[in-house]
Amino acid sequence: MSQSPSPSDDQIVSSQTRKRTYPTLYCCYLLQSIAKRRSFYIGSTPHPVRRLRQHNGILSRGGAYRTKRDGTRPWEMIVVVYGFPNKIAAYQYEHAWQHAYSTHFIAKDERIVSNKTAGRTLHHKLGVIRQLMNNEYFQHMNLNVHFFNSDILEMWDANKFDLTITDLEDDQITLSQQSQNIPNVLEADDIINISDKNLQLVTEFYDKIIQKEMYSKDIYKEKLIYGSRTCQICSKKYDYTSEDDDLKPYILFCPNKECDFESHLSCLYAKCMSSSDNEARIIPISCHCSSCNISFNWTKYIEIATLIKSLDK
Amino acid sequence: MDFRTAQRNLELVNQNAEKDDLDDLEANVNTSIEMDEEIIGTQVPLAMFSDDDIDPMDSANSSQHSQVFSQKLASNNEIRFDEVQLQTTDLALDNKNTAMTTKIIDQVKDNLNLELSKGNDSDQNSIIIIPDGLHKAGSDPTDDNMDNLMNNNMNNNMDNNMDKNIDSNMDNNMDSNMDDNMNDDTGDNIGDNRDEIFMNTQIQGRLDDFEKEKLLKSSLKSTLNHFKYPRFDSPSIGNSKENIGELKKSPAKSRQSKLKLQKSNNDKKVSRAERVLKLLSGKHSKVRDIISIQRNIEAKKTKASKTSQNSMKFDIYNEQEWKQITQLIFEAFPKVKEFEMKEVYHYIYGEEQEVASGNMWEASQTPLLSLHEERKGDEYNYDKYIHRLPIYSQPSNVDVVSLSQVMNDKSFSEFKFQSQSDEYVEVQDSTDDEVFEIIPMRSPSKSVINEVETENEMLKFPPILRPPSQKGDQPILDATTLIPNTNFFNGVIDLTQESFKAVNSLISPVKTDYIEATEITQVQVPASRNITLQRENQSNLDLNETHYNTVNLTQDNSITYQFYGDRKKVLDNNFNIELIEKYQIEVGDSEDENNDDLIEPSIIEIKVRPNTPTSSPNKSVKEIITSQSMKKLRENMKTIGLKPLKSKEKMIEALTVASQVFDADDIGLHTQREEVYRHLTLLVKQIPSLLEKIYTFEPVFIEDLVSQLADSSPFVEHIDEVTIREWADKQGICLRKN
Repeated sequence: MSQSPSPSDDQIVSSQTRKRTYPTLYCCYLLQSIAKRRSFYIGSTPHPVRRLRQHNGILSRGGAYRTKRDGTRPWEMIVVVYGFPNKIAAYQYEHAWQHAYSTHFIAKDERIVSNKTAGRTLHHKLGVIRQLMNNEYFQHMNLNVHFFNSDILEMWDANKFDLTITDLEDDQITLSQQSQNIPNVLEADDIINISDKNLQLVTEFYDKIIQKEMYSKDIYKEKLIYGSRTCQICSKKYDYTSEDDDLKPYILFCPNKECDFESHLSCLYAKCMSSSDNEARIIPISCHCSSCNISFNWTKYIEIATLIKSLDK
Repeated sequence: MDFRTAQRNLELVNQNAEKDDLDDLEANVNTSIEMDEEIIGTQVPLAMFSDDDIDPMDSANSSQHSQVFSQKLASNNEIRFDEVQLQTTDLALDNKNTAMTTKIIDQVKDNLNLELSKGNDSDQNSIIIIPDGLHKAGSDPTDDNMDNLMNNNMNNNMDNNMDKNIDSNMDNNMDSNMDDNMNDDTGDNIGDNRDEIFMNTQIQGRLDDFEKEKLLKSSLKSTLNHFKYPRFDSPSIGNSKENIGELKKSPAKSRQSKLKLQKSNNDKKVSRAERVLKLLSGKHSKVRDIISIQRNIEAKKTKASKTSQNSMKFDIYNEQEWKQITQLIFEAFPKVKEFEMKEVYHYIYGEEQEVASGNMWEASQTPLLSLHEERKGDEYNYDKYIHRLPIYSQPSNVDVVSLSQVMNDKSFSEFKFQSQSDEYVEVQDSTDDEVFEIIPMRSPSKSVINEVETENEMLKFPPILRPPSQKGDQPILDATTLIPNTNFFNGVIDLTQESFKAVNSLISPVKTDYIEATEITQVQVPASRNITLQRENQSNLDLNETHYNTVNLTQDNSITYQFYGDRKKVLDNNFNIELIEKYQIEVGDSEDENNDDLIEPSIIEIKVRPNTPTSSPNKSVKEIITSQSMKKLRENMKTIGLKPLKSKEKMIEALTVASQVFDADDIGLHTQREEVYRHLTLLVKQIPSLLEKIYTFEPVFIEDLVSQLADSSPFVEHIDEVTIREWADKQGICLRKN
């Protein structure tokens, strides 16, 4: 990790060429065996489609040993938690999910999974999602949950353990448009069909996200290609077409498409931290755009800023 | 076969037999065995070679192969001793017999056909040829006949090949006169084969003799072995009983000896070491296993060493030879000059070593010479050595300050700011190898301080605590008053003279007694955010533009406090502020304290309140901390979230540092942890690079984080890692390990 030299101006920090931290998509997923409804698998990946195919043996390279067990293949991806800002956070979530009986993210007296052998039901798995999302560490990240199967969503809504997530917004829980119902008695054909359908849904989900990002990338590219632009807060210039790294700090555009606001990330940060009493916090929860005044999650700005930063590679 | 060759063969064989010496016999046996082996070698490998499609006509190959094969045989069987060889040859003979006959018969047929077809032009024909009689005999076998046939077959083969092998041997070992003769003979080989029988028996007879000798030898060996003394590490312990049994003495003696022997027998079974180990460990089987393994290892080692000794022999130089060698070296290489030696010595050991006398203590006390001074002195060396020295990150004129100076001396800041301002100054650890001069103390002056404090760069530095000066009789903040009574300027801290104290005493400035008495000795005041001390008389509250608030206290003496502060807060609190001590209890019972009901001993909390005579406790913070028991101290540390420490002094130190850092506001029991968190948050917000990493969700190495925070506030070093992780979780900082 390289440190930037202490700047003469607090506001603009010359950011080194860092690898993009906010990945397009990094998710933790829950697999359920189609044939053996009591078998689950938790993992994390930046590419859920590829990973699912690895699990199901369609792609031979890529390990997925634990899911090779006889009788469990093929697997169905039922839930996906995404929106992690970096790989580390995703790993931590995955580990916590797998070890819900001992993770420090869940307080001891609140545990719903009590020991290693317990907590194997789907209700438990879903409950742990709730618990982890409630944790203050993961709350910073504004994670989203996506379901591929309406039955599972029903179970989620049922909320067997009566867990609440603070500040959960509606759009954080989503469902694929066409989810499928799994009949009780499965035959070989059914299994294959379900598996295919599931893969299709996952592909849709993934593609959607990728497309969104591609689209945003294009927009930002268009904007930046003009050369030098100015921050609307501090009026200093930056130029993402230049070779000089100093002219390429973290900047952002307002997520609102109709809004033309742009600024340094640091300027926005300073503004954000000064207005509200965020004294105890380092990372703000949300921030108003200066011009359109719509409040967005801080993570949204970071997504944009890191996306822009990665454009100049 | 030609008569000449046959005779020659016989002579050779006889030569071998004539020597009566055992060694010679052994040697001869060896050679004969080698010959046998080679013969065997030729016989079997030919069968093998047919499989490998090696041209049987290629005699050179075969002879080589035969030799190789024999060597292999030799090596495989670990030939160390003749009997082994004998055994192997016997075995080989036995084992190969059955296999060989069929193979040989087939092979010979083929070869015969081949040879007949190809003619007799080839030299050193190594084809096995069976005379017709034998071939016929081979078709109706009886056991005896078979044996005979074997032997005869063997003999034939041997015979046929013997001269070849002998030739090859001769070629290798003897004159090559025979070659010419041999060449002439090849043509006659086939034709004369039928006449070989009587030759074979002679040779067979010789072979029989050899075998008898072998047997004799082996039997002799075995009998000798019976008389062998058993050894502890010998593998043949199983024989020990027999051996001992065979020792026959007079009955009385034998009984005694039997007892002894039994004892010793037992010892052999269970060595002394074993016994002791058994007694000690109590695990008999385990001990046995260990010892057996050890024995095996040793046996292997001895084996290996023996083999290596056999295979390789090397010699070491004796004294005379070494002397010669050293002389040669000295002549060859030029001598090193004295001064170069000295340079190297100095580089390694440092110059002062020479200066210091044999007194180790003094040597340890003398400060190391500053590197850059050295460098300045010696330009030549500079170029030579400087690149090898460790990276000297500090600018050369930054100096280390001792704790007392930091505590007591205003001039410190002045001194600091006179140095370059751009670079980030670090306070060096005294354990660093590089040496810095201790700043000589200077007398403070108010004006200087005020000027200095307006510097923005003060922001970067941690709160520098300056207690008030001494009592009136003592001069104002002079270095000499506050430092230990040693000759400081020599840089030698002589602990034998006096105990080292940073300051002479630490007394809270807060006490109204002191305030009233206008006699203030040393003061220890936490560098809180708000103004902590204000006298009634004193109204000049220098609120500067910066975050630093300084208070100049007393008429005569001046006390200055520098700390992070919120100017707004301070102003809100108004000018006339008086400091009150308020203590809180960490753990319920106060039985240890001097029971001052008004006091609840605990970590310092200082509350500012206007002009009321306080019922502040009589004790200083430090006294209170020191008066707490270890248990309480530990608990305190745990609640705050500091690193656990073992010694009481260290804990007190940690707690005092903590107290300096904490805010003056209400500190409840539960919020002390939060105070730490808040402190950490504040620290982070002052490091823009770190801050950016955090709010962009970039994973931060935890060591980097801690080190950066510690740079700006040494208190962080006291904080436990667990506390830091909790704080990071709360703040959404993603941490990663190296």
